[in-house]
Amino acid sequence: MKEKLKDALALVTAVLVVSALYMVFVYAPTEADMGDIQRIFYFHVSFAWTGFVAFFGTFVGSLMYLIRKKRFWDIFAVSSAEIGIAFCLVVLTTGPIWARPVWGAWWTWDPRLVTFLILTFMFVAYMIVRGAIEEETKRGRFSAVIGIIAFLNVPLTYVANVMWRTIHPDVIRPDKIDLDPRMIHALFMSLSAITLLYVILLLRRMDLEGMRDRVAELKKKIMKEA
Amino acid sequence: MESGLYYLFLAYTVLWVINFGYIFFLGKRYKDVQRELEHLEKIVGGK
Repeated sequence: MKEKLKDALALVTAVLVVSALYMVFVYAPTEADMGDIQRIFYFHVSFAWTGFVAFFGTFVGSLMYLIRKKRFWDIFAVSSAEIGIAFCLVVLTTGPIWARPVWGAWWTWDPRLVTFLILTFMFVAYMIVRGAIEEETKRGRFSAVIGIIAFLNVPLTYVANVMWRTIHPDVIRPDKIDLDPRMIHALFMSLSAITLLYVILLLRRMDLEGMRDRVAELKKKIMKEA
Repeated sequence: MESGLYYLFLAYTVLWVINFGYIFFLGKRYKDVQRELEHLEKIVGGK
């Protein structure tokens, strides 16, 4: 993709992020029970959802790599996984900061929290495995299998609220969003901003991996000629 | 419930620190690899 288009995308992302912040802090009403602390919710949920999207990207990339054996899909998978981990880190820190004043504890071993933590650890393991294998094809194949298995945790995390007894809030259900309309607007604006942030980071991360390939190629060429 | 504003401020600070940290980390790796690539291209082109 052209550099100018990527820059334009980055600019749109910045505008959306600023708009989302305005909606979260000014436009959306204060929640009756929790007060201002509830405003963490908008970005917390947006990062969680986009993290899931990122891991879905890894799942698709891994599956396609196993089928097609094209390096592009491996690059797509690893780039998406790394961004997913960064986004999960946001979720795993903002969640406890919200929980401390609301639940009275930073962390509880709630099914939703535990499945999310395991999900993040599995993708960290995915990155560790990648770092440990030198040979490109072997690395791609092994990590693709781990990427697919790790993704299976995403639907499990999503349905954890339904499958087990949990204290994690469940305001977004497939049939209904239990929020004031202005809160829904703020949530969707935040979600759009973070999704676009994911897209722009993914493009940059994929560029980086492509350049690394070119470096490795040139190094091989120089070694052969020496 | 304890004061929400302190935790709200803390959450958004942490959120952007992680984000900008990742963007900075990505940008640094990008620049380093770009520099290495330019250097290797010069070597190959000079032969």
